[in-house]
Amino acid sequence: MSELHFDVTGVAPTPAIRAAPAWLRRAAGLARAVLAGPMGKVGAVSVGLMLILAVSAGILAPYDPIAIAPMDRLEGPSLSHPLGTDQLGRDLLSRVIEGTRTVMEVVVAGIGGALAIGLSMGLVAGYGPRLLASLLMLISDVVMSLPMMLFALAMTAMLGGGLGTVVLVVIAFMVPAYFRVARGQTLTLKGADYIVAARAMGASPLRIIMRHLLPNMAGPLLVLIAMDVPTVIGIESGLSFLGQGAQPPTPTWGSILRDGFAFIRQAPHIVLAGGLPILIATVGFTFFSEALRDALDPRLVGKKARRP
Amino acid sequence: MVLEIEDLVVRYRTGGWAGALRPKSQRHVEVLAGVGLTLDAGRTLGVVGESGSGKTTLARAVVGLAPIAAGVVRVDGMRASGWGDGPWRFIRRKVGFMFQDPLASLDPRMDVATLVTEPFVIHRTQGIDRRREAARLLDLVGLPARFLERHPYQLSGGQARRVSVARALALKPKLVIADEPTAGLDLSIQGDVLNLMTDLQAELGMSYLLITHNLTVARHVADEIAVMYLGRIVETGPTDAIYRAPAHPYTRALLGARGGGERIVLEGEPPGLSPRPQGCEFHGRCPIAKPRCQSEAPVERTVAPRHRVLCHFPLIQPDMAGTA
Amino acid sequence: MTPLLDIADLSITYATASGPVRALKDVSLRIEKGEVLGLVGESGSGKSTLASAMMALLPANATISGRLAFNGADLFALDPEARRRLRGNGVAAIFQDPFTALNPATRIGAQLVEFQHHKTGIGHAERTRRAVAMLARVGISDPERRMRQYPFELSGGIRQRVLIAAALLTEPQLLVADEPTTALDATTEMQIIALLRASRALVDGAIVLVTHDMGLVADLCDRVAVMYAGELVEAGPTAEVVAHPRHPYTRALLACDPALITVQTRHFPTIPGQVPDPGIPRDGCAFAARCTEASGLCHTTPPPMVSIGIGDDGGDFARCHRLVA
Repeated sequence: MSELHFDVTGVAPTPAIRAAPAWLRRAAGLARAVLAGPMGKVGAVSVGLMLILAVSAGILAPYDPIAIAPMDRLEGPSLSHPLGTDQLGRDLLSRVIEGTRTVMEVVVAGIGGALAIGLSMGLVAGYGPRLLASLLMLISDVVMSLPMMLFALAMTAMLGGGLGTVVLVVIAFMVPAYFRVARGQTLTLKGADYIVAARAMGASPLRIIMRHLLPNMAGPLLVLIAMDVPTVIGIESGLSFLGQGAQPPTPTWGSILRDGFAFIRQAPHIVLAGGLPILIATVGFTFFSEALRDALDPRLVGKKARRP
Repeated sequence: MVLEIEDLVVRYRTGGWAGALRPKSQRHVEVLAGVGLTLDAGRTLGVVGESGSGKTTLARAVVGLAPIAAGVVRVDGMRASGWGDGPWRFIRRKVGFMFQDPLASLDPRMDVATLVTEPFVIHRTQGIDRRREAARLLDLVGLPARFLERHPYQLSGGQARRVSVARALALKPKLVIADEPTAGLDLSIQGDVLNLMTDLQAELGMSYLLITHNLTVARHVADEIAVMYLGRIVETGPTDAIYRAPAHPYTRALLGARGGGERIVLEGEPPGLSPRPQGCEFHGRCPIAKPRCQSEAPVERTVAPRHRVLCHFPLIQPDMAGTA
Repeated sequence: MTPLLDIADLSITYATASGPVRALKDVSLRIEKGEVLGLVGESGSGKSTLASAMMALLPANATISGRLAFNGADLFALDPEARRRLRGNGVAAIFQDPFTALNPATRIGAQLVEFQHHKTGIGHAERTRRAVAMLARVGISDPERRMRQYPFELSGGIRQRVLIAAALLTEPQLLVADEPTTALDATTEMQIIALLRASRALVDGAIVLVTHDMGLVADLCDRVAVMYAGELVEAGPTAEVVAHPRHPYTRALLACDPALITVQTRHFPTIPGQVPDPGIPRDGCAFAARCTEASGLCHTTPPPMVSIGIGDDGGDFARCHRLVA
């Protein structure tokens, strides 16, 4: 019987690798592709650092982030306080580490919520009646046209400050983007032969969505998520800086910035302590998302390359 | 009878919201304008036509994937019509579908074993050892077991085609619809797919609805032929009869291209579908058109046993059947 | 008489990320003025590469050895500017996909006028007149109105006619048609075939028809050259090659064509196996692995060009060890 023309997989995989489930192999391949370039390496390192800090904040922080020590206030960086202390004597390194966790919580809650809502809306718009789809598009366009900061401030004015409000703002603001991507992908994939084939076999719409549509939409959505993280960080930091986000004593990078702003003459290190993580996280996630996008695109092209 | 289609009409809506404001005749495009055919067990019906003839829409309509405005589809006794997944779910279980682009019809994220056994999962067949069934199906189409773990991007065109055949056969269907099974294949390997389909038919006894624009293939493989033009079947009959003596001028022109016969070059292009031409829809290009053809739509007439044609002036008359 | 196109031992290798890929190997061919040659082959045969070489339209990563002379002048020895001037002014092409060959943003008329830019000495008005006349010549009704249309307003058949008109307008000495009817319906294909046949009178040179369809070649071409895996395996007068194919591949290929099988059959012949990987260097005959008549020699030594046919200067040949008397 006919053989495979060119062995695009290269060397035959060792038994151990072959035994691993397909998705794990794909993830490993993706990781390799992302880490191939310098941008991906930098991004992966930053993202990795953030995640480690976020997950183990309680263990890593040398001091209690909210413990006040008025004797040590406004001290510059030293051996005992690598980032110095703020105006209430709290160790800034501990606050930054704890802040990382808080920020990541906002990111996960915000993007997670936006993804869930936007995805559902997108699927409905792709599959549902034209009228409903047009209505959803209209709502999405309206929300997208609102200037973000004003919208955020209006929300906090109505609902009061606090991280909960920040999460709501993030969700409301990001839903349109996920909605558009989900809808676009649904419409594109809806006509794909393998989707039609599934219908021809008698698959229910639910099965088509779960087994065929969502897995094939994962790529662009993943890239969108990675690219949105810096935006969420920006929203949270911005709102916290304005005093509408994290309420004292909760430490986030934005609130540290806020604290430091009042003392920028006497103790400039506070502002640095708040601003640096924002910078690193933003640049890191941006690099990471770019590398991810590049890794996902040519992979598909390369694998589909066939004989002329 | 495995397949019976009665007066099938398929219409697509045109235009967005503004479309609803247009006069009724322009609100839709009628892609199938009343199609009827029958197919017996173990036989192959070749549906031939050019682009715009509606043959692909017909194939999809048999499994309820086209907006059916009127008419009925009956598969192995099961009846269905119109929109809605309900009645079609039973029919889809009994019909295997082979798509024109086999690679595109396979979910790129699934491996071959999952792909060929998906019908079992969809229809919740109990007591199936998926792995064993997958191996059995691959064996049926002549692919070794190592292909079970492969993904579509690792398959050549010919291999993907075999996988799509295997999947179509999973639930032992009575009817297999093959949409352009030889499209894009080199001449030297075209025979592979066709021979496989023939062997499987001899072994399993299913019927084929073969959709193709390749008349030379249809001539050899089909027991009966239905020629489509602009959403209608203009001629249908035993393959032999049609190739020896076509009754419809369009069929005669199509056959003239290859495989001998008088060469007739048709003028012009197929007309648009909205609005449809008046009278006989072929009159604009017909080499033997008369005034009646422009004003009056033809009625189907039988010119020989099982040989029907839609024409005012068919090229063979019933009494000529013996001398054709 | 100098042949219009004289190709000698032409080999083209592409440098790719996964190593060198040999698209053409030692191709020798002669095309005389006034001839219509069919270049037949399946996927991977190299026929498109050869057609591109005739137009001097090879990508940058192509390594070329051998000679391709157009009217006596070695095409690859010319500087790029001289080569560019040849295209559209000596060599013209019609491609497979009429839907993408025209600029969708410009009207047909403007494009047809533009295609004549090599013809110095005639003004815009004259070019327009010639364009309209050519549109009528290729069977397009109401040519003046068509000139003002955009490509998307035309059907596939009309577009292909426009492209043929465009090619003929340049008064080429060599017209290369790469699968001109593959993307068209059967009835439209017939119209284009009739047009190409009639166009012979309009081309004061040669026509090369690249196709996978032997039937098309039998219809239109005086001579046929059969390609397999980058090599030219047989060449000769069409009638002769179809009636008495000398090369085992040609024989096998003709046997597979359903159009040529006169007795109705359910079992089609095929050529088992597949085309050898062009990235892997090979000794011997390219077809040896799939040939039913192969011997040991076939696997180790490249077959010679064995001249067949009536006293020609080596124009008709087949590459096969079995033919060496």
